[in-house]
Amino acid sequence: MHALIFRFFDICMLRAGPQDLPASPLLLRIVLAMNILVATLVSFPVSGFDRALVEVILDILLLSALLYAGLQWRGLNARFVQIFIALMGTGVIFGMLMMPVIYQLVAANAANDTAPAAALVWWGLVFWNVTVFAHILRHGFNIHFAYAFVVAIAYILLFWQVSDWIFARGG
Amino acid sequence: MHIHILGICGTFMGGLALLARAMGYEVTGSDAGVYPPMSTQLEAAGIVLHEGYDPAPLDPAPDWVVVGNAMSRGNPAVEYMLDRGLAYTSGPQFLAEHVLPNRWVLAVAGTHGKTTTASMLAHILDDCGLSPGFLIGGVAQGFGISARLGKAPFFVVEADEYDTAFFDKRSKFVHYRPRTVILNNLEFDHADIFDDLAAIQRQFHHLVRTVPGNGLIITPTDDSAIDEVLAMGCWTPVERIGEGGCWQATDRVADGHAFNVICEGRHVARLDWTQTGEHNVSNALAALAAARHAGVPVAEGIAALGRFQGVKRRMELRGEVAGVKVYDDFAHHPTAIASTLQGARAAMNGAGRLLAVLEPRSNSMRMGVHRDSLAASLQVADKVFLYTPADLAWSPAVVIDALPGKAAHRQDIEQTVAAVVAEARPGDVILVMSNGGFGGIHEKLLAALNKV
Repeated sequence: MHALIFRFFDICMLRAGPQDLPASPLLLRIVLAMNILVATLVSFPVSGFDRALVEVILDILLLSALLYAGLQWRGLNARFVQIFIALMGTGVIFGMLMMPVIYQLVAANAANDTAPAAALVWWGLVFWNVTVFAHILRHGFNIHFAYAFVVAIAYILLFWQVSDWIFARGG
Repeated sequence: MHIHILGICGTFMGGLALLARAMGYEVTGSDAGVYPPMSTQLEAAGIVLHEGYDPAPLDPAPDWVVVGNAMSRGNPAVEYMLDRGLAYTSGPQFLAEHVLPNRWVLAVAGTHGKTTTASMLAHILDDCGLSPGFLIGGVAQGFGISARLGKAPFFVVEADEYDTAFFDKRSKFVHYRPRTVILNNLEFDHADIFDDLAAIQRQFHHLVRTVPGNGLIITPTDDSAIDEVLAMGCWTPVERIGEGGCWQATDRVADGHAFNVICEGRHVARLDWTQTGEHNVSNALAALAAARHAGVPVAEGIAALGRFQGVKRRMELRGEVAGVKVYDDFAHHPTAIASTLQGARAAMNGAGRLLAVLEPRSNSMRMGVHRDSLAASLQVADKVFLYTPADLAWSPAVVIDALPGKAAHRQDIEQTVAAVVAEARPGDVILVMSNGGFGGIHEKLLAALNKV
């Protein structure tokens, strides 16, 4: 178990890739559940519980669908489980790192104050998270890192668009 | 460079010796049983053979001692080698380090059909002018040999899951680093070295982990044991053989000697060939998939298989006397026995009777691992003759009782021959199955039939 947890940290440090994880459906279910919990807790102070939960589930559905379609298109669908475990598992780590920062930022905002150090840390974590996302895609799809980085950014923009569209329609 | 091979007369080590010789190495070897055809094949290649395991051939010391997996501690040559600190390696490791570098390795693994599928694949590549190297655990009729250096880049290797050497208990195939892998099927076997199916699956997963991301793994659609292996983690594209897969056979005749090849949903061509049996249809599709990965157009591969002459000891017709045909087959696992018998039955088109003669010779068979499934596998035969040497670890009654009026056993080869010949009638097919020489029973049967 310790080795597995350290494997996720290694992926976050770009020292390992999704290919170093087991393709275990059980592990996938565990990291998926943890990701939903942690990501919801991170979004909750900003979006409220209902919207946070919907956003997290939407993110997971959209990401898994696009990932599966992309791997199918490249003939690499045997990699799906490992890549998705990597994305979910590293997502848990980043969620736990972001949690105290987001609460600090929300608290500062509520007090009509600013927290420049926390904001800097926040954006640093976001950049690191996107880098790890691209690192996993690079290995998963056998593509250049720069291309993977663009794909990661494109996915985030797409998710925001879809999320805004859904919540705008929902009123 | 001088290499000395301990256990040189086995199929794998003998083939390795021929490859090393073709590379210009000085090769000598020792074995407990030095006899034709392997001994003549090796001596014709300029390899000096020593009967037995006297350490004398290891003085002066060769550059490498290559140790066969049948060697164990206590063997005089092995003990001498260790005491003197001679440089030693295993056969698979020697192959990997001296023959396979810079080659595109195509490996055929699985419980059944390795030799046949590897032979088909080597034949396709050769027929299409690619002159592959190969090391196969049998002799393809078209090549007449079991190993050849060939030309770069392609090298076809029969990837055996048996252990490597007394000092390296990993499966042989983890050494080969293939780019293209066929996983034909996976069942529990080799009970002498594996505790259960999971232990074999772990070794297969080690193999899967060595295949590069731009390689290819070819597997059937309906083998749950292989699916479990791939579920442990697979970083390589997978092509499936069979219903619902990338490769399918349709409109097949009953005995499998003709069928349409469907690739990615498209009908490519009809294969009409000399092979029979459901298992050979799957083997052919797997070989075509591997050849396509190596760049052979599917239609050319199908045309090549139409010229495939089969493999020695795989439904090999050894002779026909007075309307009775005697076939030889290597089948030694219930699944292979059932498949071989079904193929033979279908090829007979309802004429004559099928007489099965079986020697339970493999370690798993002798240990009785398959005794409960053996009777069912023999059900297709009209008569079953079981050769049961006195040291068999289980009672053949479990098979005989399950096949009432159909099966009998003998503890002596001469008695087995006499019983089979007494039963045989014109039009019958005698199918001898063993993974060993079976005491030359084929010749004895033909000679006895001649005297009737």
